Amino acid sequence: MRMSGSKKGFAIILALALVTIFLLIGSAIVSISCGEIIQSRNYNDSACAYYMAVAGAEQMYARLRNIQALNQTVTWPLRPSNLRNVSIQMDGSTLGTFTVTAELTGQTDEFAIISTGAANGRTVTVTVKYGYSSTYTNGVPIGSIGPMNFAGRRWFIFTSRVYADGPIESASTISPSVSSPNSSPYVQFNGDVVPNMTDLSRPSFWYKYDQSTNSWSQKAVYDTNGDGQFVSDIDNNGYVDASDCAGDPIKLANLNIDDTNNDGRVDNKDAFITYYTVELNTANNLGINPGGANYYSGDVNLGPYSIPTGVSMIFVDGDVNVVFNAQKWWPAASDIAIISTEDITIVQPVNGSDDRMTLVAYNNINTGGINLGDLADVDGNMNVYANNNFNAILGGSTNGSIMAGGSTNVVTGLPSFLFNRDLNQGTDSWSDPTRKPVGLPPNYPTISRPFSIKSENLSSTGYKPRWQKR
Amino acid sequence: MMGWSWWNEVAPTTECQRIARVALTSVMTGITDQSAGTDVMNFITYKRRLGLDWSNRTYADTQNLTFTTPVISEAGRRIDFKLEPDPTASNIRRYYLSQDANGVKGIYYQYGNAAAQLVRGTAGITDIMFEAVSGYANLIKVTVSAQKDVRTMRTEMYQAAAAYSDYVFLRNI
Repeated sequence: MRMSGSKKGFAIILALALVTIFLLIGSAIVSISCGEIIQSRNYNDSACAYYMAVAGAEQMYARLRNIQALNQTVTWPLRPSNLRNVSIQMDGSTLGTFTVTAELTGQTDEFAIISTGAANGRTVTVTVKYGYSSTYTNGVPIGSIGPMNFAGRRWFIFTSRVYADGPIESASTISPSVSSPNSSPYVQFNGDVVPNMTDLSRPSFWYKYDQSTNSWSQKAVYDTNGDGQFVSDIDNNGYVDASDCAGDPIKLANLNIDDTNNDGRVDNKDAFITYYTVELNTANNLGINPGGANYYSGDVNLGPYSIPTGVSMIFVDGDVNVVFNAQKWWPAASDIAIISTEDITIVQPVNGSDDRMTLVAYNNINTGGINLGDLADVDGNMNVYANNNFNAILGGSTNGSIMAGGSTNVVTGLPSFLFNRDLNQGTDSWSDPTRKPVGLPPNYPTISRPFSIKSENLSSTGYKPRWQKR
Repeated sequence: MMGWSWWNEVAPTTECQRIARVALTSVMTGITDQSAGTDVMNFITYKRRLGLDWSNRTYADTQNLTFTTPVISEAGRRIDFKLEPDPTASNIRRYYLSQDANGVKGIYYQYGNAAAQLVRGTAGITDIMFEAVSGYANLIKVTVSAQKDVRTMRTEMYQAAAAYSDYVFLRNI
């Protein structure tokens, strides 16, 4: 039969419609399949990242058990460089990586392993909390990122020795590296001496406090005010300035906002100033904001009772000199923190056994005095963080923790027993985290010794670890 | 036909095991929740879990083998407990066995006076038992059981069952 003229081309239209339908069905099948493949790959990557994190947590646990078995000291936070970005291989290909640290949780006698696994760009963090016990928890007795140098003296029959409680820890060299060597017989150490320590890291001040949630978080470096807008260090010289902005007016505006001390650059000093005068001040209402009752501009000389009673912290935008302090900070127990953007120099640090003094300087801290027992020594505690160098000249006796971001130099002065320099460990226990001085910077290294993880066995003292995926 | 019979005989057992395991881990571990408190480590905030593990004892309880906190009641079917941020005066969280309007049993969680919620995945459970462990002030034994009637064409009706138990460690400080 011959088709009429009006039906010509119908077959083509029908074929085209069928082809279109088949194409639509085909593309839908391909699209669904691809979606499923991507979804299952994402799931596999997440699962892989989780097991990377678990592997990291197990490695850190083994490390801590080893420290316990060898009766060594743990320095918190524990961030071994050889457990950072560790890659796990199988059959020649990399499955993923993990980075693991161990930190105190802020609860009494409790620490946590924090392990982050990564696989194909997916990350999973696992935390495991453990109980621990320790007969001594405090700041590191003496630690520094830079080299340490100790030197005692002798003049005829008179000697001026240096005595230091350990562990003495440096990310660089320590001289001498043993107690009373022939080359330096007047330097005595009591405890471990650990040079070239890879776990010791410099505290950072890039942290912000959120008043609404009463919580702290890390800021991006160079984002001083934590608003998420900041200039990156393009020339990689350790700070940002106009040369990193390339004339961009928005970047220049952000640079100005983040430049707290108006010196034309945003660097760690801006973070230091902001940490104390804004973040810590907001968290604890200390009056150390610019214009506040405990904010001092320019160099300050302090003597006995020059800090009003009841003040827990002062902030000085300049040098601090404690010119004469041969008087104990009593009758009341005092707990004072002095923060300086420059140097702190104390001629004769003295306080009573119920007192505690915290010194934090962005630059150097220098101490010097006479070792006269109860008459002129720090009988309480003096905790020190010098962002640059810590220098102790002449004599004296202090209890507490000393940490320097730069070098540590302890050199006795004139040859006489009066100028013995004793650096004793702290006498108060930081096992109770509320005893940790509030003025010390974030991530200030603390130690636990001897350290043991609470038993996990099924006993009346058993303590099971608490695992959780973040 | 063979596959159908296998499924009808094996699936109920698997389902019993699944419910019992989910119930046990839910009660012991729980989920991350702001109400359980937080840990701040390296200035990063981590939420804690609201499970029974690591729940608090009073100081007196840590010194005595017979503890009074957490409180086990209703013939072992209910436990009242506190986590770290909870007030010391009373036990304000609880897990307990209950059932819905259709008689389906499940484990319920209640925080303070808030509405009780069925713990996800536990509907169909048969029993849960919380027990103090004689001689241990830091342990609670949790036993969960699930049973199902199985009707097949080849055999008489029978019950598939699964029971699991584990120990909860209380906070030992």
